[in-house]
Amino acid sequence: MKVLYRCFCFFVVICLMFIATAQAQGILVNDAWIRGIPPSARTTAAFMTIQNTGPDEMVLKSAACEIAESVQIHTMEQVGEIMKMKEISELRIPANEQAALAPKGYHIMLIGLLRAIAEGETITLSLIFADGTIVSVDAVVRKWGSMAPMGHQ
Amino acid sequence: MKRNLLIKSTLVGIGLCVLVIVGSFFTDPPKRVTTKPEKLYNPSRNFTLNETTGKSFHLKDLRGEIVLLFFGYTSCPDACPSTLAKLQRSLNLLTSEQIEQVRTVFISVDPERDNPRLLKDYVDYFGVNAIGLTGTKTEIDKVVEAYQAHYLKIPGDTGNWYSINHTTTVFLHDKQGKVRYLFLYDDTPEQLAEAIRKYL
Repeated sequence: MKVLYRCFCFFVVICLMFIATAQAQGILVNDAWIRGIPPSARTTAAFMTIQNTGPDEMVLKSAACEIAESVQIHTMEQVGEIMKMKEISELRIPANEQAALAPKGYHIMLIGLLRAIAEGETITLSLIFADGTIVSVDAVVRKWGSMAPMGHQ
Repeated sequence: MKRNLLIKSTLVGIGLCVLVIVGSFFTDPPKRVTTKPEKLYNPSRNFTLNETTGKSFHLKDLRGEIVLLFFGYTSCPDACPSTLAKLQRSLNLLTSEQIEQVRTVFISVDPERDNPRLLKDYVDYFGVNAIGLTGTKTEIDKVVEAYQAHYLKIPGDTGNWYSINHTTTVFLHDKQGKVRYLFLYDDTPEQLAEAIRKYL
């Protein structure tokens, strides 16, 4: 009986470990970068690919960055010759899918920068998901994205 | 049998020619130079705005240079820096002698936030031989209207921060100050460079 109990405990621990690992590995962020701006400018945007490798939908609710007064999730839309931007309250990433935060689309706005940012510098952002998961992301300051020198960024 | 083959190859040849001709109507030509921009944007472009040095700006002072003019604001997260970066890449495709003949004019549609210092730093950062222009809202609106452009302030859901929806087209003026070409947002640096070369 004691052995059975021990086996059960072991099983529970393994399960818990598995769940913890699954949660931690649920989100993978690739190619995170922040658009370089002149030292006096106070607003910029962060771009990245957020991959949801977990079995459940992940909902990005907000983001934080300690060098910005305010951080918002935005989307852009080119309507005719006009570029329209709007704040969104959440970004849903279905299980086993990814969301591209790229120029001309979704991005994370860093508003009211508290200091100048330099090209090549790494800045840490936190992505906060609806289930409480917080993912820390290191984003490099670059003048443009990895698509350079192509026309479409 | 031989005759049949001859007819067949002639037909194929004609078909190919037709395809090429029809196709040329649908592919985006490197030159979007039509009489349309000339008629649309040239009648009333006498405007006064201020350079970041405080000097008053007149488009006619840039006669003899190719002018790439567009509207934006320095807090713009995407469209403006993308456009400026793209202009920089287009200029990189030209010789240094050609670059000297090209001037970028960035007109701020955000007089509330874009002070001359901010505007100067912003346009200088991208190295596109640019002049930043600002003025009162009324002065800016007059220019926006002359170019049949648009902008609209969009208040944010949170905080005091606002964004601005605006026209992203770049207006190419030839050395006589006439609008000859409209660069659309999706145009590539190569297309831009090709059009600039045409008017040098």
